[in-house]
Amino acid sequence: MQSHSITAIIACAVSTLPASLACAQEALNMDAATQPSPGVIYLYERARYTRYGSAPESSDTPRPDRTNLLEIDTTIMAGLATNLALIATIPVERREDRAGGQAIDTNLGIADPELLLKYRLYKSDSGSLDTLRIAALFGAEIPSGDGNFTSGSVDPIVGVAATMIRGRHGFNAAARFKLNTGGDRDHNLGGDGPDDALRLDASYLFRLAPASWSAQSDTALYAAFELNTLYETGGDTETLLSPGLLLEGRKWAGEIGARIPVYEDVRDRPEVEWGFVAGVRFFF
Amino acid sequence: MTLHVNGLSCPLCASNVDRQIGALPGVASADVNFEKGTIDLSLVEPRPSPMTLERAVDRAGFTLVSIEPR
Repeated sequence: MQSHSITAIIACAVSTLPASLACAQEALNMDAATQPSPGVIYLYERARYTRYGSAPESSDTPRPDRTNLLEIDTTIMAGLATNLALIATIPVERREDRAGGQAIDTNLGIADPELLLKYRLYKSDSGSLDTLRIAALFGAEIPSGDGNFTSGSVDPIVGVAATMIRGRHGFNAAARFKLNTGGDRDHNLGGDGPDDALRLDASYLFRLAPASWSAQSDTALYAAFELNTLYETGGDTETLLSPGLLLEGRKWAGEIGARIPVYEDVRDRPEVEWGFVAGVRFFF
Repeated sequence: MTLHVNGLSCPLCASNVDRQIGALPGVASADVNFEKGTIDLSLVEPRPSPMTLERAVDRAGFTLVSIEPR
């Protein structure tokens, strides 16, 4: 264990508290065009475990043949105005590099926090349940100061997200570009290296229950299917299929899902083998 | 009074309506009905104006279609 800063431990402890956020038929691993209204705060705790394969030849010696990454993200989303929300995310990560069946390096720390503004560009509520919304995202990833997990640079982010809900069916599409002004290839597990990163995401959510709303309904269960593509300007491209379930109430939501690679053309970093994600969201 | 509202697509997002309308002076309670796409209001004097209600629904992120007096 090389990095054990007090702040990392505190953040990790905080992130285990029951907390969270959620709006509409948001998918688990991508942006949506939903946001809290003014004065409303959502808290979102998400744990994501990902197993990666062997690192490329150019990496550290000895070369890891597997990397396990546990990310615990704490996100606070606050409504600032009718069409504007602030999103702050603090990621705590535990990374374990393994070779020959043994851990050769384990680190715990804080990765670069993300500060974003989400601005609603368009809204069309065409029915009692139906809506189409489009939002823009802009902000940056800022250095955490944790040597093992930071890129050491301010990396600007721009994006756009669209959400359409038609009765039991929800659709999301999003694009996000991060201009990486720092980062190094050896610690990159996707999107955090010296190459810029473009994320293209699409999702479909189906309301499993209730089939029809009743006057007493106040919870809903959704099945979610996502395709998450990460393209790095060095050429690495990876698409993950992410099936999941989302259970949503009036003040909370819970979610769980898997992450399975369906396309990988990756040379400069380890490939994703599989992963899973679980999260809770609370409304304040 | 009943508000007919468009865009009430999920339970959690409806909490935004509770928060914005429930905070208005004159609103004792607001009850969202997803089946009908309505919000039933219990009001006390002084009652909020239709314009105030429309603004609150808009701030919550939804669209007020009509207001039905009870």
